[in-house]
Amino acid sequence: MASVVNAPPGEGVVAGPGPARSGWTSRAAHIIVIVALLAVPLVSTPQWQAIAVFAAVSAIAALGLHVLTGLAGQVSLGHSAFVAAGGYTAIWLGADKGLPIWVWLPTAGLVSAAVGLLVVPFAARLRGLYLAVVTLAVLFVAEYLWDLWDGVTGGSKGRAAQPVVLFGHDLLDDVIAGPFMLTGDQQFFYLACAVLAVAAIAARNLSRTRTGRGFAAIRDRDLTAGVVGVPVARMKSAAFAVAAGYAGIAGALLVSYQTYAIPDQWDLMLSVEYLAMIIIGGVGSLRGAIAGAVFVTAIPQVVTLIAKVVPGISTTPSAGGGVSVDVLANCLYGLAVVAVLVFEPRGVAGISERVVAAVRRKGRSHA
Amino acid sequence: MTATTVLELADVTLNFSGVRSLDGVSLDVREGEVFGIIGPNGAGKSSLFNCVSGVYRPQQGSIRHRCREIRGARPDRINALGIGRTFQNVESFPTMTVLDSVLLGRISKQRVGVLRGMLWYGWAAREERESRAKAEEVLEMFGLGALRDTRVGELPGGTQRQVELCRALAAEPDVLLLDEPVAGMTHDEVESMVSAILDANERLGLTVVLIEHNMGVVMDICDRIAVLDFGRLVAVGTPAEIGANPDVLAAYLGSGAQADGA
Ligand SMILES: Nc1ncnc2c1ncn2[C@@H]1O[C@H](COP(=O)(O)OP(=O)(O)O)[C@@H](O)[C@H]1O
Ligand SMILES: [Mg+2]
Repeated sequence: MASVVNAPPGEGVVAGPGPARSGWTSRAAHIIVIVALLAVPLVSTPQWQAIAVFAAVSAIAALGLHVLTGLAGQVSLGHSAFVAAGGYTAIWLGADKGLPIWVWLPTAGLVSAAVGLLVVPFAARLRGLYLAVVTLAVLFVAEYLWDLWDGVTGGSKGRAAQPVVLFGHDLLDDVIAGPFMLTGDQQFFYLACAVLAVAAIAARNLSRTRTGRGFAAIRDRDLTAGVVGVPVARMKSAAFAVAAGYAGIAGALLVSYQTYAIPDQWDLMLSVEYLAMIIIGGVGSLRGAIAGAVFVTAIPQVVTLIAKVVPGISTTPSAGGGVSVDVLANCLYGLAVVAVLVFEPRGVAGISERVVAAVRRKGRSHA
Repeated sequence: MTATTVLELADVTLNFSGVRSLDGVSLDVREGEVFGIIGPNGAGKSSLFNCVSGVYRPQQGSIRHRCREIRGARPDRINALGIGRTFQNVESFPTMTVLDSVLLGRISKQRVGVLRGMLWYGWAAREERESRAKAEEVLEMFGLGALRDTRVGELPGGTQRQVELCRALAAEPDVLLLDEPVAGMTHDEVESMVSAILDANERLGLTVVLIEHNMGVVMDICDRIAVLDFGRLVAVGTPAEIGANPDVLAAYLGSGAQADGA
C-alpha cells in the first residue's frame, strides 16, 4: 500500500514491467512527434510558416479557454476581448514605452487577467446561457472601447505593434549563418512554441492539483461543490483570470507577429474560433485544444490549396461566381464543430485515442 | 449528560414561499454521539441538513457549531469548519474517478493556490501526497482501494453512497451529517455502511447526525433520536423513550407514512 500512496498523482497505479515499458515507448513516441512538429516550419513554404506561427499563438489562447470551459465548465464568448486587452497592453508597453519583451509579455498576461476579474461579479451569480450572454456583452463593450480609445489602439485604422527584440536582434529579421538561414517566421514560431510549452505545462499542473479538482467540481455540480468544500465563487474567479491571462499573452504575441493591430479583428468571430478550437479538439483535453488550434488556423490555407484544383472556388473575395475561400473555410470548421458534437464529443483527442488503441491492439495481435 | 454541545439549533424556521418546512426547531447534538433524526417524508429532515450545511438560509433562528454562529455562512466555509455531509439523492461527480472524488473532498484542507499550483508542480506535490495517503486510508474503510481509478458514474448506487461518505470523511470533519445513508442498499451494503458509521464514530471520534427510515438501523446505533413532523420537533430522547412515546406513534400514523421504508 505504501508504494501506491507514494506514487505521484496522475501516474497509473498499476505497476510492473509491462505497462512501464509501454510508458517508456509512448514517451519516446511523444518526443518524436513533438520534434517532427517542431521541424515542420524548417521545410515548409512561407505561407505554412506563417500558419504555424498563428496556430502556436492561437493555441495559447485556446489553452486559456480550455482551462475556463474545458476544466471549469464556464462558457465565454468574450475571449477575444481578453486577447485584445493583452495585445494593447503589449503595444502600449512595447511600442509606446519602448520596454523589452521580458516586461510586456508577462504584463500583458497580468493586465488581461485583471480585466478578466471584472467578469467575476457576474460569473459568481450566473451560469450557463446567462453567463454566456454577459461575456458577450463584455465583448461588445470592449469592441466599442477599442474604437474609442484611439490613443492606444489607433482608432478604427489600427496601429503598428511592438517588435520582439531579443538580445538586440529583431526576431522577424532573417538570420543567415553560412549556408543556413532561419527566417523571421521560423524564429517567431520557436518563440511561440516555447511560450506555448510553458502555458501547457502550467495548465496541466493546474488540472492535477487542488484547483483542478475544484474546477471539475463546479463544472459538474456547482451547488454540491460548495458543500464538498469548494469555494465556488473564488474558483470561478480563478478560472476567468487564468483564461484571460492566457488570452492576454497570446494577444501580445499575436499583435507583435502581425506587426499591427486593428480594433475590428477582436470580434465575436474570433471568440467563436477559439471556442471551435477547443470543441474540435475535444472539450476538456489539453492536447485537443492545441490540435484544434492547428486545425482551425490551417483550414483557410487548406481551402486555398483545394481551390487551385477544384473549380468554383474563388480565391479573391471580389471575384464574381463561386464560393469564396473565406466562406468555405468558415463552413468547413462549422461543419467540423457539428460533426464533433454529433459523432465524437471528445473531438480530435478522442479520435486519436481510439486510433492509438486500435494500433496497439493490432501490434499486440501481431506479436 | 455533561458532554459539550457540538451543534446547537435554536428556533430554526425555514419557509419556501408559503410552505413552512421547518417550524421553530431547537435541538442540541452532543460531542461524540450518534444522533438520529426520523419522521415521515416531507417532515423537513433534509431541509434541516441543508440549513446546517449552508445550502438553505433559514429565515429565523440560530445554528451554532461549537458556539460559533453559522446560519447563512457559505457552504464551503461550513465544510472547512468541520461539518461534512452526504445527500439523500447521492450527489456524486460521475466523470471523476473514485480517488479524485475523495481527493476533492479534501479541498478545504489543501492550501496550494492557483499560481503556485500552475508554476511548479513540486510545490503541490507534498500536499498531494498527504491527501493521497488520507484518501487511500478512507477508501480502505470500505475496501474500495481497488476501485480508485474507476469513474464514479460507472458504480452501482450503493457503492456511490460509500464513495460519497469517503469524500466527506477525507475532509476530516468533526460532525458528519448523513442523509439516509443506507437507502436503496442491499443487506450486505447496509452492514458495511453501518459498521463504517460506527467506526467513524468510535474510532475517529466523530459526532454523527443520521437521517434514516430504516428503524432497525436507527434503534440500533443511535444514542438519541429526534422526531420531526410537519417541520416541528415532536420528541427527542433515547431509542427506548422514543419507542414508548405516544406522540411519535401518532405522528407516523397520522401522516400515513411508513416508518420502516427500506
Ligand atoms: N428547495 C425547495 N423548494 C421548495 N420547497 C422545498 C424545498 N426543499 C424542501 N421543500 C419542502 O420542504 C418540506 C420538507 O422537505 P424535506 O426537508 O425534503 O423533507 P424530508 O427530508 O423530511 O422528507 C417539503 O414540503 C418540501 O416540499
Ligand atoms: Mg429527505
